[in-house]
Amino acid sequence: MKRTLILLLLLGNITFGYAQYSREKITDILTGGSSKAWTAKAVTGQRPEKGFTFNKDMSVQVQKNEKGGAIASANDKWSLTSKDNIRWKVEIGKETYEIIVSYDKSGTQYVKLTHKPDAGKTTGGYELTLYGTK
Amino acid sequence: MEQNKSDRGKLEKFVSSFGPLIGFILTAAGLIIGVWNFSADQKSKSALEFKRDFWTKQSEIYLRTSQAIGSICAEINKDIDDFDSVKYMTSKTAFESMYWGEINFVKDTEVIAEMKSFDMYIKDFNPKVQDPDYRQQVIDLGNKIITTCRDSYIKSFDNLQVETPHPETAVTPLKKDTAH
Repeated sequence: MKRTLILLLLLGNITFGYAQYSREKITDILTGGSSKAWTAKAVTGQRPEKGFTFNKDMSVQVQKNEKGGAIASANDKWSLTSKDNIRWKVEIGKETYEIIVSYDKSGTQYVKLTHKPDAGKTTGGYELTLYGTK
Repeated sequence: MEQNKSDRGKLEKFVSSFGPLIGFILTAAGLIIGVWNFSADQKSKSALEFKRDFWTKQSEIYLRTSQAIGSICAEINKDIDDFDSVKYMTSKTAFESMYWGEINFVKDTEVIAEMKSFDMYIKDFNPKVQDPDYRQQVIDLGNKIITTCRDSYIKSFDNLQVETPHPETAVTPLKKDTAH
């Protein structure tokens, strides 16, 4: 009985403890549990986004560069979708990105948002590398 | 009676004059049809031969990609003490070489898109980072790519049977440099 219980606990640990990034885990990473600000440190292509603040209530503040160098903040909604529960897409307002949660060489966690070019186009894709603001 | 004899004579004369020509025309027509059939058969055989050759090359590319992914996942699955950085870097180089090169020969957009995600995950892999979710994510994505490669390979086998290319195989390549 004791052995069976230990085995079940081990199996549970393997099945649930070491699962890949799920919707809940990615939500926790992005919101830090309630609300978390992210700064775009590396951007490929000409993009106005400077940062995002993700909230647990699925709202997001997008900080964008305005003309003249000022930074404006706009409120929007965000959501997560996946076809296979492995590759996740985040929709921020009207933009859809593939989200990659990874670590840099120093071991700091970052989030990469990859926007693919529109259908039928080969240009217009870009990437934002976001780091959590401490 | 006399009339019948005359008609028969005319027919015999016609046959003796045009018979060899008709025979020649029939033989020539037979030969032309034979050559045409042979040529069509040869064309179909070389098309099948080409497809078979492509299929073999595709299987080699998918196998090498799977091997590289397998070696990367095996290292990622290890603890920091057992992690072999040389083995990891060798496999990572092999994977990147497939991703930027040979996989484009196959041109399966789904495989390429998944490989791109995998490439981003492993780009800066740090064995000191002990995040089991991250490690499992890379391993699961690696397994997914291998499954997608296998599906693509089987789909190509089905296409071997038909003459015209399947619309699903005639896909536009995903521009890698645009999203990087």
